[in-house]
Amino acid sequence: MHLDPEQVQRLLHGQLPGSADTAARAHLAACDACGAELAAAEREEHDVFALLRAVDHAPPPLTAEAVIARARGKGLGPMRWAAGALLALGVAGAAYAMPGSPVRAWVEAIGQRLAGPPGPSREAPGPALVEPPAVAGIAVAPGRQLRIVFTSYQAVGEVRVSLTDSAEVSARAPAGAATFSTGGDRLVIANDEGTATFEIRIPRTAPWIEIHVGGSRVFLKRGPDVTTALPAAPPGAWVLPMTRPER
Amino acid sequence: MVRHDQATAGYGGARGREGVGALPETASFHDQFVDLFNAHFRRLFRYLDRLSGEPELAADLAQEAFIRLHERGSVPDAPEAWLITVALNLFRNAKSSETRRRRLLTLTRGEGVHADPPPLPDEAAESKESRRRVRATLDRMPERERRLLLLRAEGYSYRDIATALELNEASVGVMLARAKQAFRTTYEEASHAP
Repeated sequence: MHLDPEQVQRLLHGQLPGSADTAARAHLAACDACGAELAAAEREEHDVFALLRAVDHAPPPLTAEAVIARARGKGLGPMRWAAGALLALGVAGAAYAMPGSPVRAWVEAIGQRLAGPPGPSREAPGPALVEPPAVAGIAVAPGRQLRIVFTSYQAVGEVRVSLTDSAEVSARAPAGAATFSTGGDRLVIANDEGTATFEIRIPRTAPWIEIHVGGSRVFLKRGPDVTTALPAAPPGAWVLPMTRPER
Repeated sequence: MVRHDQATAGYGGARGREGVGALPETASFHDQFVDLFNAHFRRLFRYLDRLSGEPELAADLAQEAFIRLHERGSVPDAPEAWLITVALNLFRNAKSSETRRRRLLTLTRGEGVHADPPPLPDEAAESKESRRRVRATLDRMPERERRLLLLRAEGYSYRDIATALELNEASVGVMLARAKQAFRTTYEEASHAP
C-alpha cells in the first residue's frame, strides 16, 4: 500500500502524528515509487516558494512596544470623547446659569421658536437673539493617520501649527469663520470665507498628520519628523500661509 | 471594521498549546504579547503582502491585528490562527471599503516599506517581469487555494490553516498539493501570455 497524497504532503511538512510518521518513513525506506513521489513534491514546493519570494517587500520597522503604545492610545479614544462631551455640557450649564448670560436668552429664544408664534396673552418679546461669542473649532483623536484638509486657498490668512502634549488634535479659527467636519481619517475645514486665521495643535505622539491647503500638502508629521516648506519658528511651531503659492 | 467578538469567536480565552502557546504560565500578558509579535509579525506581514500585493495595506493590517490582540487582553488558545483570522477579516473589510483609498499620500511611507536596495538595470527588468508573473498568477488563483498556499509558505501548521480558513484539517495536505499544482500551471500560462 503506497502513501497517499495527503500522507506525502504531511510527511514533507512534518505534520504526521508520531506513529503515523514512523510507519510512513518505514514504508518510504522500502518503496522507491513513494520516495520519488516525496522528492518530486519537495522539488515542486521549493520551486513554488522560491517564486513567491519575487513579490516580497521588506517588512516595516515596527516594534511590539510601538504597537502597544498605539493600542493604548486607541483604547482611550472613546473615553476622551465622553470626557469632552461631559465637559462641554458642564460649560454650557454654567454659562446658562450665569446671571445676565446671553446663553440663557439664546436658549429661551430657541424654545420660543420651537413653541410657535406667541399668542395674544403672552408678554412682550424678550431681548433679541444674541449669538454666544465662540471660537469655531474641533478636537479629534489623531488615530493612526489624520488628514486635515482646508478646502480653499485664501486671499489672506495663515495657519499656525504647534506640537503639544495633548492627546487630541485641535483646530480652531480664532479670527474669521469656517465649518469643521470630521469623518474617518479626515478633518475637513471649509474655509470658503477666505480671510480666516487658524490654529492647529498636534500631539507630539501623533503618528501621521498631514495638512492640505487647496489640494496641496503643506505639512507632514510622520512620527517625530515634520516636513514643511518653511522652517519652524520658534521650535515646534510653524506658520503656514493660506494663500495660493506663486508660480 | 471587524467586530471584536466576530474576529475572536472560537478561539477561547485561555492559552497553552504548542509553539508560542507554550510560554511559561507566569509570563505576563505584556511578555506574551511581545513574544508573539516578535515571532509572528513579520510572517503575518509577508502573508498579507503576498495576498494583497500592497505592502502599505499589509503593514496596516498586520499592525491592526496585533492591536486587536492587545485590546483583547489575553492570548487565545491558538494565537497564530486567531491573528490570521483577524487579519483576513480586516483584509476583507479593507477590500470592500472605499476608505482604504485614503492612502493617496503614502509615497514617502511606501519608500519606508520598500526598503530593499535598488537592483542593477538588467536585474531590475528581470525581477520586475518575474514579479509581474507571480503577481498575475496569485491574482488568478482561486481565493481559497491562494490563501492556503501562502499560509503554508509562511510555515503555518495544518491545524492553524484549517482553523483560519475553516477547512477540514484531514485534507489540508491534498488541498495544498492542488494549490501548488494550480500555481505552477497558472504561472506557466502567465509566462506565455503576451
